Amino acid sequence: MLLTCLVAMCYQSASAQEKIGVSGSLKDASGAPVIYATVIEKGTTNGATTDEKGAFKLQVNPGATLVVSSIGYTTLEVAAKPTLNLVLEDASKGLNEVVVTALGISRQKKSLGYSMQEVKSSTLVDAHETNITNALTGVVAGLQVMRSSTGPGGSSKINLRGNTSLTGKNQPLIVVDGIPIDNFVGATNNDGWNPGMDMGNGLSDLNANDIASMSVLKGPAAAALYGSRAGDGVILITTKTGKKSNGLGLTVSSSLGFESIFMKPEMQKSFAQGLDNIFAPQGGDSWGPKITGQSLANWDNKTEPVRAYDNIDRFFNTGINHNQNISFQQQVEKTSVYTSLNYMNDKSMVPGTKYTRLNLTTRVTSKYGQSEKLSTDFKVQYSNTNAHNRLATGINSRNYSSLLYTMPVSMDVRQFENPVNEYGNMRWYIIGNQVNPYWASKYNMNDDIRNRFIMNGSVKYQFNDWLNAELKAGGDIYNTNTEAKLYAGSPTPANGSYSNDKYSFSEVNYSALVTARKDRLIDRLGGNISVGGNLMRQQSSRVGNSAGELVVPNLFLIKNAKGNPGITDEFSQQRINSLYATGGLSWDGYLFLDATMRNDWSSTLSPENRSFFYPSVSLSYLFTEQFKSMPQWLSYGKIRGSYAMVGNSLPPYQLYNTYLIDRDPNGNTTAARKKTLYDKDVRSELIKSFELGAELRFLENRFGLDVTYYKSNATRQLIELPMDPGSGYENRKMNAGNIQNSGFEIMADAKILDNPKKLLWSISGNLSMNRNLIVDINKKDGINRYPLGGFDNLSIVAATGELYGEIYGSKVQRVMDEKSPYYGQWLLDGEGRPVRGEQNVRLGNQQSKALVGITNSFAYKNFGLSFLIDARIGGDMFSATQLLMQRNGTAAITAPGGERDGMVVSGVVSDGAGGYVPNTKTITQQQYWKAISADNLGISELNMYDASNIRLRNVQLTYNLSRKFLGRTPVQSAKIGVACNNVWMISSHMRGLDPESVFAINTNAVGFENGAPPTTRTFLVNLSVSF
Amino acid sequence: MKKILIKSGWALAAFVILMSACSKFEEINKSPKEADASQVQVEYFINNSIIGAQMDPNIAERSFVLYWKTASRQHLSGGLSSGNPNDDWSTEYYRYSSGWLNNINTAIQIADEKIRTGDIKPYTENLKQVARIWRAYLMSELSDNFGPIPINAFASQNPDFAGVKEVYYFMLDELKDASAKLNTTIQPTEGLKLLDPAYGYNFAKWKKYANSMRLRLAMRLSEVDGGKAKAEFEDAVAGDLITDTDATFQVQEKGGWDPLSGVMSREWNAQILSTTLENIYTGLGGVKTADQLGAAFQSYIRPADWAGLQLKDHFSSMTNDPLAGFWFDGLPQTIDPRAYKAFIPAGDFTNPNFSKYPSYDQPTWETTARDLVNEAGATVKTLDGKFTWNGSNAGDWGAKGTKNRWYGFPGASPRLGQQFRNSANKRIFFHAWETNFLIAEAAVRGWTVPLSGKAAYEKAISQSFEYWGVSGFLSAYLTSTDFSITGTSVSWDHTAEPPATHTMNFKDGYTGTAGTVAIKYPVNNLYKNGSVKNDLLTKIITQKYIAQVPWLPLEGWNDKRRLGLPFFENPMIEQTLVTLPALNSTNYMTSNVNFFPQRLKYPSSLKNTNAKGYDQAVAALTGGGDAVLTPLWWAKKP
Repeated sequence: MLLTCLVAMCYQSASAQEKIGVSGSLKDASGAPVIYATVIEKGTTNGATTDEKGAFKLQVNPGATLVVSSIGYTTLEVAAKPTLNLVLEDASKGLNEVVVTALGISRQKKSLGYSMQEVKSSTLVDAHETNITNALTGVVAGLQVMRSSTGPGGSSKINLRGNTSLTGKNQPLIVVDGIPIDNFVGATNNDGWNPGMDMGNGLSDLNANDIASMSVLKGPAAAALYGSRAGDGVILITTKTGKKSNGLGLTVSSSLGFESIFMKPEMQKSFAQGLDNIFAPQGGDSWGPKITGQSLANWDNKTEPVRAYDNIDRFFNTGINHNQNISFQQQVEKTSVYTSLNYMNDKSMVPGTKYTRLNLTTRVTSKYGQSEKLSTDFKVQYSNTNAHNRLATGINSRNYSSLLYTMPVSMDVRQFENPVNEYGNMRWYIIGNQVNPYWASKYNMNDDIRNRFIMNGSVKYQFNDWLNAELKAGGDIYNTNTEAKLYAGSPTPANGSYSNDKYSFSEVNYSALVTARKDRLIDRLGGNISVGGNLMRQQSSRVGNSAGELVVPNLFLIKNAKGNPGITDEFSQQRINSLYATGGLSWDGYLFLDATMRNDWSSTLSPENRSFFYPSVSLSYLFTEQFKSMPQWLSYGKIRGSYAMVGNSLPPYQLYNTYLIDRDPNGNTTAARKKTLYDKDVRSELIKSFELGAELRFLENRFGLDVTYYKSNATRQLIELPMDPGSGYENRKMNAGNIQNSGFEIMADAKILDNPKKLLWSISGNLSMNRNLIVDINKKDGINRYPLGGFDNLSIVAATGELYGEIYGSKVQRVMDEKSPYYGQWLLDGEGRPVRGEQNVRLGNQQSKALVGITNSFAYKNFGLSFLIDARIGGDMFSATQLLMQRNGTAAITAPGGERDGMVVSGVVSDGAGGYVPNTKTITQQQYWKAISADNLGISELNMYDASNIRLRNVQLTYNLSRKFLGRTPVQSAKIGVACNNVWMISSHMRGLDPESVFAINTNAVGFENGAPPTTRTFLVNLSVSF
Repeated sequence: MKKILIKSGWALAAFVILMSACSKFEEINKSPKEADASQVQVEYFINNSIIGAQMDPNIAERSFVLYWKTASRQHLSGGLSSGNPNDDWSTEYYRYSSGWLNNINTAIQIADEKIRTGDIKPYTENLKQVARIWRAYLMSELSDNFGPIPINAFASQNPDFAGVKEVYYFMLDELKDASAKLNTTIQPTEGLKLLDPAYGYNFAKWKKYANSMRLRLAMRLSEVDGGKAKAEFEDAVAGDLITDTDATFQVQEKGGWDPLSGVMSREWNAQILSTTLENIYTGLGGVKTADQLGAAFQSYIRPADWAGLQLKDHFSSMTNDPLAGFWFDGLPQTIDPRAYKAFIPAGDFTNPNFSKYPSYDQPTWETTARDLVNEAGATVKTLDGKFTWNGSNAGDWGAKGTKNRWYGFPGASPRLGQQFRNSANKRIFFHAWETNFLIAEAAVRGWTVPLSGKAAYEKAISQSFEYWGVSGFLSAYLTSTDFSITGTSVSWDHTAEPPATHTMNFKDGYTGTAGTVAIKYPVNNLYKNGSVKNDLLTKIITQKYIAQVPWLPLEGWNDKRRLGLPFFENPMIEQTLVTLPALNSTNYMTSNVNFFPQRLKYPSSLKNTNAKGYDQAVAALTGGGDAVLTPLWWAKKP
């Protein structure tokens, strides 16, 4: 009905009298199109608005004068001519940034009542990260990137303004050219012993070179139009379209990177394998004798000199990464073409691990007819990723690091480089279920191949200068094939194992959008309205087979399974239908009021709850535009505010309790309940948020400041509350909880030196502080704690009244008697060793207090230099790696100064009569560290670390070959550069461990580290030539 | 123009209408891969429960091997035997066990539902009784590990926890009622038989199992609730029981990695002979090693009064093991004939039951000689474990252990036979010998039973001998009055106590100097304050303990907790163990409830997932709360 009215309305306004035609384009001083500028025939109400390309057309009386105006520019008056190419001067420079907002609508940034940040193509490309997600580190306020530790092709997780969900992935929706794509992340299970493989995150399949810009819509107001899937924000990616080029339009770029270890835990180098200072050639500890050049019989009964080895350095190689990109772009008549090919090959520093990615993209945009009213835009992005021998997390034979950190200091891992003995069995020094890492790298293999298509096509019709309609369809379709082969010869299973798995995913979206816009509706009142709808169809299936143990060794065939093969057969589908509208009113170019509304119908909820509505409203006020008499030093000022509601739907098949049918090993039928108890009455989640902000620019734009305060409450969360398995279920699905995120984001930039003839220096920085508070979990049912993760006695929880991600663990036993003079001191055992005391007490919180990123850019003649320093302030982390290294005697701290002197632990012991006396007993380093690390995770308070760190994240140096130099060649431009990531850890507190090593990327318990591989540094050389 | 606009307008309007059409949504949101209540059958859940409880290697290693075999001292292993359970293992066991219980409770619920709606088959009522019987077993297994558990559970809400007494009363009632309601005339269909891996739905056997289980559980109350124990026992013993091997509750194992994989199949678990078993086996029954083993072994046999090599710098003496500090450099003169069947001496490579695990690491099972070294790492003595009989004890060995490379090395010690590790055996849950040992114990207690104590005791031993294929030694064995190292003999009629000590010869292992030593018969303060080592109950429990190796380690731990029998030596304490703080250098020669684990702590997650239930459980655990040293209701108290 609304649409019909709109259509009727357009008809009425579409009749104008025939005069002479004027068409033209409008650009700013930098050559960028000025959009939505008003072009009016002076003295009349006849006018037009420039489109997204800055073009306009109108009919005027002969001899008319055109008044061209746009906010932020000096108004221009020109005589009408059939063709006009106009340039508007900035009234106050740099304020006319056009950004892509929800539904792909281009808007002037100044008119937005919410915070959003755009990331330029160059930022993404120049970072030269294998995973494009990592290029966002430190450049967007309020955005935190968490990297996995699973080698090349591993996931990185994005967090915008804190966690809104207890169970969800807390990942923003990724939209590429208007089409949402699947941003899966991490492994599907994080079992400590047998975790799934981390197949990368959805975003990592994209080629950074194809991206024209990335808009980060942080708050719900910005994202509200995406409705139920945008509870954690949206990242809008716009890919490149062909642009006219003077040359061939061909750009070739190439980079070569070298990957090496950036940080690794500090290890002692002075004590050999053994215990009690005695050499034990088949033991796993490094509590043996001091290394003094002696010779001893090793595990193989060969006498050899005892020395220390750095097994981390010895095991890992130098990784080599190269990336070749060819892109072609050209505009021919009314058709522009962009096409590119990218090949990336990462031969990781991890022996045997390799990752390649091929991307092919073509995008064609065309305009049809004289009037150019009809336009089309078609794009296909194909990617093929191929990973061989990915690392796994946890204590597992596919995570070599954990083993290397703890293996005896005097044991050279390289002696096992030939991992097989004459009987075809694995060689290793210790009895047990450990796996020689070289053996694993050759005989415990996994491969995954993902073929992915991201496509979209749209047809747009521009009815007139203020009305257009667009129909769009697009899809994200991929298949991942996985295969895992474990050869015979290792501890288990004796004859090897085999599994394969095929996962198919497709999501198709169809949408329509009608947009009307007039800058001068009545007097100075402007208005716009867009109305549209979307149909989302998502489907996935998985078919997998596994042979847990093979009969014939090394015959990788499912039929060769000992017992029944395991079969996975899964299917899932869901649909969401949506209707949405956005409308805005503006007054005189300084006051903008926007409202959006969206209604979703989700197939995954019950008929009563399936329809849900999300509104948002936002206001932007440019006070410097209203009051022209502002002080000279204030060039631009805007305040903004917004309020929005969005939320999340439910995954499919989570309403009704059904049963799982399976087969037992004899091939007979079994049945079981599912693990989660469903409630058909659950509703969609609801996130309410508001934000306030201000944007100020000073001294003719040289300095800028953007400040945002926001607060959001995620309520009615769809959580799976753990239950006592004695209930029949391990979890129960319910609506509960209220998680509050509030915080500040500050962005600032400064052009410190801006003389284009001399040295240019600019700084941009961002600071964000988020407070992630659990207001409630489910008080009314007495549930105030929700486990996010952890292991054994170390748990990471959300608890009512506390911050998200509280870390709970054990403390040293202390004197608890407040009257005792020794109150609070360590109460040691009879031998003078620390003992575990209170358990399940708060030790810290995993959330950072602030994130800071500062980029400095310099340019001098043809040289460019930029570097990014980022800091994470606050937040704690428990390190199981440090604990294991202390237990095994490999940690540097177990041999302070290279010695292992006896120690008297400061504390008291019982006097046997209910009182205490100071401890006087001397114990060995071994006794101390074994005592504090006893029993799985030891006394956990002693391995809590401040995860704050400051690092020089990257440095980029580029040189553009001068025009003069290139003059006679077909080369249009050429650029060479060197770059380095993870350059320098300026400050950190984890005894050599990088706080970015995270155990389980797809859980929300990131304050727990366990055997993560060393983080890496990449040094790159790159070359880019355009023809 | 006008036309275009109107057309587009209508097209868009149509699109809108299409979008709001959600008619297929209900259909879309029904998973095509899952079954509804009308599609599932009671027997699917029973089958799942019994199969699951056979334990896949993940849970079998943690609970069966590392917990139960360790707690019952059937092999060398630290951890729980030193009072140190592992939260992760406990979490897994609680989760798995709840899964088996979940399936069997669902079976009962589905049966009730089918009976209510009349959707029944002739055997539906019987299936419900079978499910109740199996549920009683699973509940007893869970309760014997943790103590208080839920009774009314698996009803889609967090359950309340009940004290151990209530749990036992409930299980006894259930077994009685289910047994009574079983209709043994009903014959299962061929298809149905496949869905019971234990008895193939032979309902008469299920009845026997129910009654025998009732004997086991009734006897558990002997020390705390004698009247109830007697009444239940006497009532149950009058019914059909598992008295012959035909009705043994056992399930066939299979290769692969699934619940039917052998519970003891992980190759890296060495399962070295424990000191406890060494002391119980050696000398018991008077059967000569010479008569049991072949020619190759004869030269290794040592005299009956031989203590072995004394190696004080490498073997800790901080324990009440009578032969602590000695290493036995050969085979004992006489030994229980089941010993060499269960544990194969090092180096016996031609024995088909010799375990060549780890198969991927030949030197580990092949190397029999290991060094004792000094602080500098130089060899002071080489111990060749080939054809020797030494058990090992866990605990803190300090530097003595580090210098002792024999200790804990798989290839140099007797280890559990391969027949229990190759996933080709049958896992026994209830054997006839247990029924007979229970009857023997009841007879000793003066309860009304169908057999005399002696007859039941000897029948049980004969059934065990049959199982091990050593029946040829039975008659001599039953009349033997020889004392084992623990001071117990076999003969029912021989209840004379051993002397306090017996003199043995030894050699100093370092110097070769010969000597004699008065070896004590160990004082087991847990039973009759250490004054008795050879009464009828000690004999019964000793024999029961041996018979239950290796399939029923949990019952071994249960009897130890209930009666303090048989004798378990304390773990070594070269340094005191953080987890057994009461055991120290002044009292390690005594036995005490605080010196061995009494239960598992609840998984740490329980506090979060079911705070109310956890609090109820802790309240029901009087005398120590949720700690590993808190004795269960039916167990001996400190």
